[in-house]
Amino acid sequence: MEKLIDFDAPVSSNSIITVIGVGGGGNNAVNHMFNLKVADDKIREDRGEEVETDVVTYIVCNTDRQALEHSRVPLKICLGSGLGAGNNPEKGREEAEKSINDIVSHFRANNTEMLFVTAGMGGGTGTGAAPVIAAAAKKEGILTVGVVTMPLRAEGPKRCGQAERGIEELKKNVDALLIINNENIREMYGSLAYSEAFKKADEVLATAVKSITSIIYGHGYVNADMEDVKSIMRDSGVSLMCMAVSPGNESIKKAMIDSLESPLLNHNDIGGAQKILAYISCGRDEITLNELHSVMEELQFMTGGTDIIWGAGRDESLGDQNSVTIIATGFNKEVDLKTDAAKEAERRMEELKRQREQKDKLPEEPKTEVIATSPSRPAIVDIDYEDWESRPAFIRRKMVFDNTRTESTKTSGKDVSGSNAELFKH
Amino acid sequence: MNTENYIIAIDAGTANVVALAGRPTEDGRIELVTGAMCASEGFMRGDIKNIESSTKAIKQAITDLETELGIEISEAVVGMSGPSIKCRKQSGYVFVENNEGEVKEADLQLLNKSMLNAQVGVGESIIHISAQNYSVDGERDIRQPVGMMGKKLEAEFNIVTNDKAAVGRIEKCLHRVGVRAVGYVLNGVAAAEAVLSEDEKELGVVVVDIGAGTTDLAVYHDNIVRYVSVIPIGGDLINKDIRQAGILERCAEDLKLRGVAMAEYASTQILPVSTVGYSSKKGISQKNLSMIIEARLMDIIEAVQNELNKSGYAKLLEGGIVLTGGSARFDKIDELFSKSMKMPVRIASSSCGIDVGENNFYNDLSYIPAMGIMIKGVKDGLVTYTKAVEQLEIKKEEVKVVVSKEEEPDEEYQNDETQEEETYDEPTKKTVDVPKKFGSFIKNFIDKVNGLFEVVDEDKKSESRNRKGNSGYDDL
Repeated sequence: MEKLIDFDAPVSSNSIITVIGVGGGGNNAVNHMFNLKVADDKIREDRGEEVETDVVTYIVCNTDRQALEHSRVPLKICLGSGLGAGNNPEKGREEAEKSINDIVSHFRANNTEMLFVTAGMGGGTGTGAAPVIAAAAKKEGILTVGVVTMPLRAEGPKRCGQAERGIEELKKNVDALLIINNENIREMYGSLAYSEAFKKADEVLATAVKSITSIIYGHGYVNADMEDVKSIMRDSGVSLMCMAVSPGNESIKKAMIDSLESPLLNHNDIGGAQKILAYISCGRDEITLNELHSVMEELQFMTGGTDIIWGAGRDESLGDQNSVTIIATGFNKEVDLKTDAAKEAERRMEELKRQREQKDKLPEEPKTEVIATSPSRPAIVDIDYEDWESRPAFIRRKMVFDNTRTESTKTSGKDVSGSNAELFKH
Repeated sequence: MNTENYIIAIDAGTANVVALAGRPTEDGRIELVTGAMCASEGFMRGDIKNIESSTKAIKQAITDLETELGIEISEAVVGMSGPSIKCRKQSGYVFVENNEGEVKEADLQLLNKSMLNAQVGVGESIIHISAQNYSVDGERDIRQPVGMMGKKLEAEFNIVTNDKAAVGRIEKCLHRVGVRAVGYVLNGVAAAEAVLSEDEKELGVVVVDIGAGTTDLAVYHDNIVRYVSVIPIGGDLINKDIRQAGILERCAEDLKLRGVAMAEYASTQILPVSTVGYSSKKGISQKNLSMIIEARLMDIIEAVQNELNKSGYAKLLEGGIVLTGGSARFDKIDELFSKSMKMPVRIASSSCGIDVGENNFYNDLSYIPAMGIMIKGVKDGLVTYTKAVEQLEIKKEEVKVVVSKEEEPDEEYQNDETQEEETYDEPTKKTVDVPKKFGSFIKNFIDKVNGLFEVVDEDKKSESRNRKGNSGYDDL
């Protein structure tokens, strides 16, 4: 007994990309994306600019009808009878199967060619329904990408076990799978408010979709299209994804290297990736050809030789920053999903037992933070060595030079013999 | 036919490449036989940027050494620096192997081995580990676990890593030179091994090696390496700053040494500076010169203090600071450090662990890292096989020689020629019957010429395989 809500939501014939959020976690992610778009549209309207026609169709679906009601996304699909899945993936699966035909008809109506299925693994709806939806999409010939989260180890063995099984199931039914481990989110953003921290996981989805859409729809100088994306992602298994934003004066390559070391990648190596999708987005200033080249080179170096599909374009909203998104697929070996989280959690448990605090964290702190410590420990600062190298120390430390004795050395060039003004002429 | 076996150490720094050959003496010290130094290229901040140039520089130093000693060098202990070197704490454990339930030395070795293979971040390689303290069955802060009863041996380690890419560059470069690194030693640790006394290491000390491109430091406490870091500031920035004042590069180096580390001790005397294209001579007062120097040294001091703070040992170093390195030559630099950091400072210019014999000029700051590399190599039981050149001559008669037999090549030329055969992989068919004990020497030779020998000595083969790769770890 399916009941669809808002069936008459506008169908965008432009969009060949659909994002469907399954279950609570998935809904949050899609809501986040959708709200961003709405906010963005509002800003443009206020400015009097043209609102971009939406290239992405958003769908939220859930076994819990009430949860759907709170979403602003126009296209909502209730799975089954709407009373929830009770943390049981089997139920999630059953309910999804009841509504699968409606879901598929939406895909057809929208001419969907690429589908992002997003869910939080471990519960009932996401874990059980996502594989079903993915399977259906794949059967339609739609390029299906899963973007899912793994629960924290501390959520307990049942949830983790369900999550792992859900991922196994999903893996069989998607072309590419991006997995975000909440342990890594905690590692990086643990100190944020929990909704803010989890939003970071939503960001991954948003960025993944945005990068793909930029690649396909962007008017980049170097263009790429849906076929390129398909060739990279078709049947490519578990993939790694990272995104890096580099502030104006930093090299994009460095930002990329930093982000490839990001814990979001679960400490996996990008080496061995046979296919890479790279999208570089420039803000006000385009990056130089050399920089572009060095990015490619670095990717080749890190992977030991790979096929790169790339696109580059402008995104004014970045300001003076540049961003690069890397999606790496085609790994021969199994990408390590769980061992890291398990090891990490075990370590943490040991510490709790021993009641000892680890002072040094594994990931590097972001550049501009000053790590304050307890009063008895001296403060640690993050020194900007690049700045120190580029400017002479005597200028930075404002040394006042001695003018007491000067030899007459008036020449056409700089007077070296202690004149303040000239020594400081830069 | 003699088989001189030297320990070969290479310190490839931003300014100079130093290669030393030494021999362990009977009383447990090391005798320095000879060394070679040549200007370095292709390095920046301790890291290889241009493999061609760095290969050339290292090859030059090695060739000089080979020529002087009449040997062929194929292995060496190599120093490492670079801005991507960092350290952190990581714990590991093993279960005690034997069924007596007693921790044995072998268990320590096993734990060390498992740490060397520990999981690290993406693109990182472990260069050095040192156990900070042990736990046996949950009982913590154990200094010496051997002999204790227990099932689980655990330790917190300080792990020093470098980017795999950076290590790869060094390996590539060495490969082109024709030398294999039997182990790597961090410059900071090398300096420490060279100049620190055991007492200092026990009391707690930080050795600061101010080089041309980097400042390498290592913190010791209770005889254990606690923290290692590379600061990307070196003497070259002092030169750069001096040049900003309008002085040529070649003058800056000489001029630099005429300044002092603390401007308040400098005089207002004008130091002449010759310039090009100007009608009259220019000059700079020693005071102003010293201010430029002091400013940059303060950068280094601030960075060192920050690193000490990060290490957690800032207040625990009774032994204070030991300064070394080519850029620590300034007058009053010890006072500048001690005033700013409020710790005792001494400047180390010679190594306690090496007998230089008559070659006193090796007692110079520039040779210290290489000496330390050698000392650490010997301590860790690394062996670098070298082979006297005469042996090769015997084979030449039966070998298809590249040069025609009529020529009388002198020794140096011979070396060059054999270099060519090996490094450029020219295959030559050898039909010599080689005595068994030279099996491993020949293995090295073969590796370079894609040869056709059978390796006779299987034991030696596995031994050399174990030596490959990471440098050793601290034994307690």
